[in-house]
Amino acid sequence: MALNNEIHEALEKICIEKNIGENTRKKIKDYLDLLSIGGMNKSETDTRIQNILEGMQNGA
Amino acid sequence: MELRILGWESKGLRCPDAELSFNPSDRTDFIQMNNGTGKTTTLLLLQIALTGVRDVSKITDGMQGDEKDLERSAHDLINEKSEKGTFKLHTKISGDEYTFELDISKARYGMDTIKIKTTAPNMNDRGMNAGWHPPEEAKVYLSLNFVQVFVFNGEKAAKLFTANDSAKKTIDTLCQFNILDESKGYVDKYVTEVGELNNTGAGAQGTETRLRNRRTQYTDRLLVVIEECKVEKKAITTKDHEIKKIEEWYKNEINKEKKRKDFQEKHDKDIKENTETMLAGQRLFYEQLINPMKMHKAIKKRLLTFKENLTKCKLPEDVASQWFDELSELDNCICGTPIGPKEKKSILATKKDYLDDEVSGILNSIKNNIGNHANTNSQLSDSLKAIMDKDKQALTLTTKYDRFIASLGEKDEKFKKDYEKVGKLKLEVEQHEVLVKEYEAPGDVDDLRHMTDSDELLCIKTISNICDELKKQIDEISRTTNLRNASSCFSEIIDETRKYASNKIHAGIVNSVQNDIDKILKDAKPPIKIIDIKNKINLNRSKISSGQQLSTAYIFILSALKYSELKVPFIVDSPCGAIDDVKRVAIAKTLPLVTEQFITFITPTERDYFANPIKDITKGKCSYTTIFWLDEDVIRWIKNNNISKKELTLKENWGMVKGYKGFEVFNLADKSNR
Repeated sequence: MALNNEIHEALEKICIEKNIGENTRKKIKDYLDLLSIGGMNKSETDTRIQNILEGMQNGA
Repeated sequence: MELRILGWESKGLRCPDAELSFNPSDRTDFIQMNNGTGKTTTLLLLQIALTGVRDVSKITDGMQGDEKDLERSAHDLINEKSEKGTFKLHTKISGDEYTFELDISKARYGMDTIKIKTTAPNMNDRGMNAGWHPPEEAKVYLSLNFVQVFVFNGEKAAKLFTANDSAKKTIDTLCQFNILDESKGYVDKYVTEVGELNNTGAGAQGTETRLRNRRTQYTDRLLVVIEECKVEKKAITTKDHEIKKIEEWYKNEINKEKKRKDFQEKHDKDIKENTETMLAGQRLFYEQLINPMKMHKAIKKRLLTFKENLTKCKLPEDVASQWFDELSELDNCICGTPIGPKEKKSILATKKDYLDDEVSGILNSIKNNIGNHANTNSQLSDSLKAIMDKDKQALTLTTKYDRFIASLGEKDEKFKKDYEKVGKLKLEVEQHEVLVKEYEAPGDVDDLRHMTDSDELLCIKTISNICDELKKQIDEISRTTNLRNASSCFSEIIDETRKYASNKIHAGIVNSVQNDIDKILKDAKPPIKIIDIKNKINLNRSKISSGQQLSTAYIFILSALKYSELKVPFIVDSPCGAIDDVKRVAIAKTLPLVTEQFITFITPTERDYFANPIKDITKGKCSYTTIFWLDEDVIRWIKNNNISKKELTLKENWGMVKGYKGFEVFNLADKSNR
């Protein structure tokens, strides 16, 4: 079960307001969706977080 | 996540030793039990199995309302006549079957009283694991707070209407805000771990500033020394050019006269020969210097004595360890003693005290080298003397040439000055060259390691290496600092997302719940209106009947579950509570439509206005089980109602009837009320 639509919409709106690039927006969305479904191991969680934070730094 | 209860088995507990299994196509499973038949115990066991929480008091805290009627320990779950009991809950979670087995013993205490075992097809150890192991994706929805949203006693639904942690957590979980909180937690943890790994935890920003300042000092110094080196090189070029110009003039002067020209040619030839002879002497000297047999006759004598001593001691041959290998392979020792396994072991154990191949090889090599140079005589002092002679010769030649050049300008003041100038310039060039050599030296490892003060350094490579090293350190810290900033930004995004989404989600849930309330509780006067659900369900009325409260709670939970697209069963004890018959029908018509599995424990008094409407609305997709303690009245009831053996299970002190017929006609109140 992925995150509900209201959270997705809110996330999209806030990310745009904060000038988060489309790529990183998608990565955040995927990360939250996977978190809600569960089953991500630590290594995958860390890799996804690393990509998100790097994306936020680079403005991607 | 989709959870379905397939059934359960209990044995030795404060509820009948029943085995129940539910048909996947049924939407509602009725379990008719009178009070005192173990409904609460069963509800407790279901919650322990679903959450893995073994602290019974935690579960009862969450189950009870205002009255403290559930104070019981894990031992209280076991039948009075038994020493231990088991409860197996069979489930299907996201398509896979999981069985959670509770083993409860009066011989164990504290958290050990209840032991949990999980069985699932994909588990290691033949599908069985000690402990509570649901699939990862289900864990968040199998927290006690959440499980008590869908497994509860209908009479205790009031907690959603009081501000408490449990109500807030339930609402957050239903709205999926727990996922947002979790996401921030993981990001914080990641950044902390990266900081610890790079040793750039708290205070990293200060360290980064210090390192940046230090690097600036070295980069400034680097620019200075590069400039200084250029100046030195330019000075060398200029001075070399000047020297060359003056020397050009000498050559012209020399070439003007044959006598002078001949002198110059002879001088060049002598210098060349002298230099070559000196180099040959230096090579010979070095060759003898590195050979101890050629270095000095006293050393040679001692080395020859050393070789003789090795030979006398029969070294290394007689003490080589391989000798023991060979001996161990023989049937008899050299003394004639037979060599058996014990002796062989002893011989091989002795081997380690003798010389191995490597040491033997070195000793042999030393002996051979001493032998090869036994007839060589030392020429070290002769070589040294030859070098010194040639050095002296070179000095003589230079002096002679200087005089020759000086004689050229005896009567020429300008020549004299120029000649002196060339000497001075050559000295200066030498000094410039020394400096350039320092500037262009290979990097110094010690200076790099200790990061010698920038003002003390001349070597461009060393300063450059220090700059690189500092940059590396800054980059590592800077990466963590940037990660921290990005992490703060991520947290802000999540917080604002939650704030923004919560308004919409809460409004959506409130709207949906309100619609159902308006339909189901249409007779409420004044009408019940939900104001908000921020931390609890806030209603427009401070006082409502328990029936209205229960209806509102059901409607809220079911609307929220529908909203979060979770498929979980709804397991409710005493679902009707104090609701009047009209509202029972209304609730009964709603419940099966919003959950795919509704398991409910009811009493005969709740049946008529609740079970029958559900039967109609589900088009008969229901299962019916009636469980009772055995006594004379019950046995008479079985006979009078012609309950078939096929539907009946009778044990020592309890019985169970499957099917609608038995369910419908069961009319015995609990014993205390007969």
